[in-house]
Amino acid sequence: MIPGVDVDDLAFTYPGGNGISGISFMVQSGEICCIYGKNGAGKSTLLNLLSTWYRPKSGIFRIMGQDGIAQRALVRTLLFPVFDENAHFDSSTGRENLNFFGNLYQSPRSEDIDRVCRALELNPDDRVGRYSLGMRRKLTLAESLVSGKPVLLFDEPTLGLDSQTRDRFFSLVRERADKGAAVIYGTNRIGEVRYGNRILHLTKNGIKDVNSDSDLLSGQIPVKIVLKDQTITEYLEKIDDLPALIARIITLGTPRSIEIQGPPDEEFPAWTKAAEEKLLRAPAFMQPMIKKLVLRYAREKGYVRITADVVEEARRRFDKG
Amino acid sequence: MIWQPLINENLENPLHLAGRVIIPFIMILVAGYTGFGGLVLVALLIFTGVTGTAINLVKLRLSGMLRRIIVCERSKTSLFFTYTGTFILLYTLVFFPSVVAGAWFEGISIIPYAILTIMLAAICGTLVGVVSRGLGGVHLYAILVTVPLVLLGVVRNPIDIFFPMVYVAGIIDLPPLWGLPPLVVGISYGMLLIYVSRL
Repeated sequence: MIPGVDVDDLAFTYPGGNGISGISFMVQSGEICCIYGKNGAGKSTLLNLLSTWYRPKSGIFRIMGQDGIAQRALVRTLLFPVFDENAHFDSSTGRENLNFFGNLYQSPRSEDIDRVCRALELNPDDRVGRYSLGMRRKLTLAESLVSGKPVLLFDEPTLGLDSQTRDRFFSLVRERADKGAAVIYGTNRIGEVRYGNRILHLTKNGIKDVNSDSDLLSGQIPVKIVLKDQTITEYLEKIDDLPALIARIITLGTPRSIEIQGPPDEEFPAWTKAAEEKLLRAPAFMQPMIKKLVLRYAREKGYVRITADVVEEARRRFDKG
Repeated sequence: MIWQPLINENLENPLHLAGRVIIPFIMILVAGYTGFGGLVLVALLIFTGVTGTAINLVKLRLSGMLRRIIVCERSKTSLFFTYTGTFILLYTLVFFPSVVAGAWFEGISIIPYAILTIMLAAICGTLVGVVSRGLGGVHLYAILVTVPLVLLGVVRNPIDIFFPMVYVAGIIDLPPLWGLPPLVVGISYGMLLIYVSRL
């Protein structure tokens, strides 16, 4: 059987020297493959290569048996890539954008449009200019899901989506895979790797198969975020990634609480009264998180007492991150 | 295939649309009574055609839309012509009252040449958009193309008969020293070609 995507020793280097190298893997038709990697690991680069937007420096890849470099035009008929931006024509409706991309990608006219839009809770007859970030993402995903292409590529597909929509999106992806599509999605959220029937971990050192998300979870810091209508658990590789996570989550609504989970922290080192007062100036929902951050920072630095100055130092480091 | 959403983007705001139609129309009327109707029409068509088409393409690139469009299965030639064709249609519609006003002063025969001028400007605009990476560059390249194009179309030079603008604005005879423009044009185009070939 011809694999949907077959990548062999693929490499790409940016002018600055960064890039990816030695990437080999295979995804069969009907398979959903998750490429997990932290920021800068090269997920977007890899998906840009597979989408034929970039030309590889070396190595080869095949889409449905067709050489992605020598038969680029043919390969483009076989895939629908979703990049990390949601580029649309704002003055047109969602449906007009769907039709535009349907025509552009010469997708078979799908009767699925309304069903997919309903599943994603997207009104396609509204103007895109009135859409929120999440709605724009849903539209981009809908364009891909109704395309009928045998290979679907998604770069950070759930950017800006709430958890219910994320579940619905992945069940639509499952439907497409059951009909024979090979699906690859890149993510840096551990909570999303479980939707793939294969997990590949992409790092600077290359790509490797991972059995389950628990292999990826070791050494990660769980963060529980409570929003108005949902609770999200995210995993950080290092605490410095927290500001970026909050910035991402804030697009879904203001968090009610952000709690860094894991082994209970000892109360040592001790807090001075001034430090505690400084802590109390922060919004209530952020106080447990800031307390943990300051404790972690103080332990790292070997402080035995947490003074107001230590809180300030920790805040400065946190702000830099 | 015409990119209807792209036309929607450009005609979205009724006030802007009215401005785009009415202001050039008034300019042509005023210029027409002073004997420069054809010249102003050429300048307007070239400037708007080149700059507008180029800026729109750069905006598509900056928003990520161009990447989505380029990785589709349509050939680059087809994309080039559908994009350019969309702007030819758009500017023909927007400038139609101005062209008619120009025809009132210069004669009805200028209409097809005015449309050919729009076509030439839109093709040049798309090329300018292709080579420009950002909004800063696009203005520079648009000026590099617009000025020589207007000069080629209105000042007597060895190849003036090939430019439709000549039949809209008429030809201007300049003293021998003014024979410099064709030279400047040649150098500018040569430099642009060298730059493009290195991309």
